[in-house]
Amino acid sequence: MSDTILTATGVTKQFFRKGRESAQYFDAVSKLDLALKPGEFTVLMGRSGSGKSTLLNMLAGLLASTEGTVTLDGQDLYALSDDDRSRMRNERIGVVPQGQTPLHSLSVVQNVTLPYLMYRADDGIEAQAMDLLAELGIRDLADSYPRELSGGELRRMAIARALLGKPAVVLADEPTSDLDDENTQVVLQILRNAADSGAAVLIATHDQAALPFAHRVLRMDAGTLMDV
Amino acid sequence: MNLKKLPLQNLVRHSGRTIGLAAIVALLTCAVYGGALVVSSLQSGLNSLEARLGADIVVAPATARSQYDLNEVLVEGVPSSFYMDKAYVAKVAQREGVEIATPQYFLATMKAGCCAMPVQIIGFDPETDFTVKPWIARTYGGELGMLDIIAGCNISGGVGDQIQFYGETCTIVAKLAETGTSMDNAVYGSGDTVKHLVEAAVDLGFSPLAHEDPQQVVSTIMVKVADGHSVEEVLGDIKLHVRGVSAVATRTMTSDVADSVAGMSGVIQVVFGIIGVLAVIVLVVAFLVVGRHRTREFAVLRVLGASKRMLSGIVVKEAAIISAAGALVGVAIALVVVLSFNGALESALGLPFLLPVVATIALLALGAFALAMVAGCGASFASATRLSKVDPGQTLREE
Repeated sequence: MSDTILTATGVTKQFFRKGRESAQYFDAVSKLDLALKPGEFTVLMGRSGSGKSTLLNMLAGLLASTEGTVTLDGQDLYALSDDDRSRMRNERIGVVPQGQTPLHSLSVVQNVTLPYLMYRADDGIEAQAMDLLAELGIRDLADSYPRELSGGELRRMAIARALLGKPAVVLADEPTSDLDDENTQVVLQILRNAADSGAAVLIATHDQAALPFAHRVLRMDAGTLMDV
Repeated sequence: MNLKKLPLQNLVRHSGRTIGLAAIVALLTCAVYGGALVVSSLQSGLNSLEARLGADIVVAPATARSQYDLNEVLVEGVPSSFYMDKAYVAKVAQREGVEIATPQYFLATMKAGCCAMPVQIIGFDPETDFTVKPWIARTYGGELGMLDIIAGCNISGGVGDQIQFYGETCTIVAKLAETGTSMDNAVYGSGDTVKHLVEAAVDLGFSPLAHEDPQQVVSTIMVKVADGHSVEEVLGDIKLHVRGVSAVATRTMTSDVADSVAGMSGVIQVVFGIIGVLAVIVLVVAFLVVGRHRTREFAVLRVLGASKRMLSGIVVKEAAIISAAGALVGVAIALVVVLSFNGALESALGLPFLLPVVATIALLALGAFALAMVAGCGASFASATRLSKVDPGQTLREE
């Protein structure tokens, strides 16, 4: 494994929360340092509300930190313009967001290829998409629309979408939710394969099944990080 | 599939939403274009009426004024027959400031077996006429023989057809283009033809004349004022020195119509303007409501790497496609309605109504289309701005 590709340095994210009697800022993520290396599969565990998703969003360039910096390939993500940051996210980071995130007007294969084709020409990417869908066991659903798919199938579609184009970084938030045991293993293996191919993979999960696939396991608690 | 094709795909896959939004744009365009067409047609009708009347002053028998509303006869075309001694033509022609005085002969036909239809027959003197001939010349270049007639566009029958008036068979030698005025319901012939028909009417017992010789009477005298003289001055002179006649400036006759056209145009503009403004408001709200339902979709696009500018582009492109489709439908509906019912509109409004020339119709359509595009894309702006600022992390966690 080589140098880090994605680095968070002293990142803090404060949110404003209005309680019944008082309102105050709280730290969802507090002065956190994290470095992701190419070829490393990192599993981030932690209770709900511990700040895992907030951290992933900051790492993906989707949520500016209150303090600290996030660098990708040595570039401060939040120093970039929105256009440049969006393009960098598209080309370098594969994101699997929390929950179901299909685009309902597109078929499964169109959902999977759309991010790749946002900034790049169609160089036969659909064939690669079909291979990924086959690996994930949903090739037959390529021309179906999201409304026709189950929760687990949609989850696998989102994973194919994040992995297409072999991004340098993969950030997945609860990638195995809605999946049965068999498909959980399939998805984790595919994510591990991505890491083995050189990607820096970070997944946030409660799923203990992810642990055997991990190079590194981190635990998050109250916005801070600790190695397990 | 790429982002360029995504807006169209979104519209096709959400056809109900698309049709709903396009229908609002169509309503807006239909209101704006329909209103503009009606107002423009009223203005064209008024212009046509003024052009067709041609004369500066109309002189009629003094008795006609008490028996008929000259406006109804000359402007609205209510069939009527009244006469005065033809000596008045010379008397009027001699007044200072009168360049030309030309007689016209009116004969109202009957809704009876003797006549094909009740219409106003207007005869003119080919030697001196300056009001009817110029626009008849656009349709018919020959000399009008005895019992040759030129039919207004609303008269049934084509060129070469024969129609009966008071037992006499007249031949339609030409048909006039639409004027949008009551003149479309009239029939035109030479003074000799009309005088012949008057005699025929007398012979059949329909006596528009008391005891006069049809050859010695005229109905009206159309006056053209010479350069260097004002209409008011010549009108006053005729009223003062020619007894037994009633003289009216055509400008005052058409001014009532002009006032009505202006009033009606104002009402139409206000009503259609209100519909247009309401449609824009509904459109803005509709885009915002639709946008609110699409927050998650746009959050996903942000996650996948679409920039804020790209998201705004998707919203505006969808709005542009919807607006273009809606505007085309709106223009088509307005055009079909106004073209199909222009006769009914003329009757309903009771005003001259003439569709403008094709170039004006096309220009108004282009204007309405452009306005709909601006309104549609503008209405989507608030939604585009809101959606481009969506916080993807927060949005995706909310559901």
